[in-house]
Amino acid sequence: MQAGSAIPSNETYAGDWDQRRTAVHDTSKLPWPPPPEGTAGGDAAADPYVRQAAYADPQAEQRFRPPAARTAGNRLLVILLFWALLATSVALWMFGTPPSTLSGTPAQVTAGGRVTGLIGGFLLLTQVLMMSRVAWLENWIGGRDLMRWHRQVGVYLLLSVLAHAAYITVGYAMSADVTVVDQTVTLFTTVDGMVGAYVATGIMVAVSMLAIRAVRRRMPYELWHWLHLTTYAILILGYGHQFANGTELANGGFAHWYWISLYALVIACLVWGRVIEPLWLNLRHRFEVIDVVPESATMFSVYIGGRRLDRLDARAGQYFRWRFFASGAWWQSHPFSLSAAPNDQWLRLTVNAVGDHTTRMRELRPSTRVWAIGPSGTFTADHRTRQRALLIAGGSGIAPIRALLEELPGGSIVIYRATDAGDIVFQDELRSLAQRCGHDLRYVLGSRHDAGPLDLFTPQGLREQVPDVRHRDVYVCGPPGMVETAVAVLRRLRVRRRQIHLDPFEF
Amino acid sequence: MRRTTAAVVGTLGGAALLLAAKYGADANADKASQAAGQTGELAPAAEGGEVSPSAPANPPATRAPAASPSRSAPARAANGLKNGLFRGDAVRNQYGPIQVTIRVANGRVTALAATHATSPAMTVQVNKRAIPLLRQAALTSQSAQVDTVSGATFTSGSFNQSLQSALAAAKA
Repeated sequence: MQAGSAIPSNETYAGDWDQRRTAVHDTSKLPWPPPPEGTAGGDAAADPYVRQAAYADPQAEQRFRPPAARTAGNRLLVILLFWALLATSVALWMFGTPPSTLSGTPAQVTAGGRVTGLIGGFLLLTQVLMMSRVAWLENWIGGRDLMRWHRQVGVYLLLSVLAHAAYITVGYAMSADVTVVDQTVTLFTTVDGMVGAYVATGIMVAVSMLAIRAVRRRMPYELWHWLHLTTYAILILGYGHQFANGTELANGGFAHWYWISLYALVIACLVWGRVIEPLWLNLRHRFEVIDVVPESATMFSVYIGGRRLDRLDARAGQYFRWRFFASGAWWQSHPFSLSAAPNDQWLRLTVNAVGDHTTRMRELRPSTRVWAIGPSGTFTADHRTRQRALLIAGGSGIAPIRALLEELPGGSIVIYRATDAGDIVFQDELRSLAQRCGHDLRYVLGSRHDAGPLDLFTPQGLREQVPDVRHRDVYVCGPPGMVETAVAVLRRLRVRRRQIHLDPFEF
Repeated sequence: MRRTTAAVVGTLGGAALLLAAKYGADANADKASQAAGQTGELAPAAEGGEVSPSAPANPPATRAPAASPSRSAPARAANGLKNGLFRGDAVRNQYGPIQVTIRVANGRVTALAATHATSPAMTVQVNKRAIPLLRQAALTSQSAQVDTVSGATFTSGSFNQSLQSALAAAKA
């Protein structure tokens, strides 16, 4: 509210809120451009997904080739390459160190420092690569796993860097027969690139402390995000001492070029993902807000238009990172999933106004410029491994599920979990989609302690609702607690991990 | 990409990288025995400047065999040392190789340079301190019986051995 006060007609807009909400539910007078052919309201026969829905034919079941087969190897390739490159990094030390040089404690301690140094250097590059937002990685691995891996690898990175520093200092001190303090001073003052290395380690320790969940929750997300960006400095500051003093790297040859190639690859992906792709996307499409439309008491949709949207290569279920050039909002970028399959006239995202930023988004004016990064994510129809799907949505998690429903073949089951009927959004759209494509729509209302919701998330309850759950892909999107419970139940029902698809964002 | 394709590509790629690391390390081991850093400077040649002092650190392309005179210099002083530039053996210790090169004029060692490993930092730290001391001591004593520099036992030993072989080459 406070941020929107700069906009002149804000009062009327806010006052209109409830009135507009009722108007929206009268679907004959939609305030947004009519949905194009092929999506809601289109000719059912021309809909490619309806044609695909010949699932009732038993032969079609056998002929079915899961679309995920075409992309299933991408993730495997990334994982294999990670381990191969990690092994190669350690091999630089292993093959370059004759066993005869490892006699005596000082040499062994120093060797430990070298190995941990190589591991740390490699993990640092991995960390930066995973956050480079480069499209191939976002679409092969998906934001959820990238974030999870980034968090896990971060711990190992910190441990290996600290071990590296400790082992090297102690090892050198032992061989030179000086105290650890003297050795540290010598390293700091006389050895090339070490000042940068110490500063880099300091930044890394500080950022890691801030990343501890208990600490992070106490600070605003934006502050944490900006502080986290200082980690790029680690990449630059750590670089010098690796090549100046790294036994394996300083001598030239394969190790040297291998390490330089790793750096080159990561920096190329970083520039590509953070600068070139976003520039290209936004210069081509020039996104701007068309309208903001209430969906329920707290939820609203933002319609975003742009040029040549037919050329936008996005799928239902994917997300963009959105930055709105409105006062108070321009410096924040947040990921939101599309809540309708992309079409050539508009993109839609649906937001629950829970925080400062999302509340401010409700006051976005038409023709506000928008900067988007994406599309990203693997929460899409072409990642399914089975013919039919089960979609479980909780609260505002309905947004990507609603979009997915347009691209999934008929026969999908949607379970929509909401606290009460007032929280339900897209009721008309869901009904129309379900009717046209033969989806099965079920609402489970009540608090999480009520009988219905409690029963849903038990193996028996879910199997009663969806007897063939093991033969379906399951798309889950909702609050973290619900997602966790749902995944646990699905695993108890022996639904394979590959069949469970999770949206990266916790709603 | 299909799963089988990925498995094949990933495995072959990983194996290729490991093999490259192995062969790269072997090739490097040869090169590393050619020490790279150099402390001390050879004085300008007394007779003709065939060895440029500006590029003394360039190691020869192949591993230096036994000590070999860099140029034929028949002039021989009373103590048996020929004039010229003589490179000693690269003597390896656990921290890397040391190789001493001397210039002899009129039976005296007039200049001495030692190349040593440029990494890791600890070796450089030790060598940068010890080698100037060893070099000064060798130029003063004109022999390979230089006192060990404390804290640089291995460097001193290798330095003496390499200097010994350089002197032997000068006498040959």
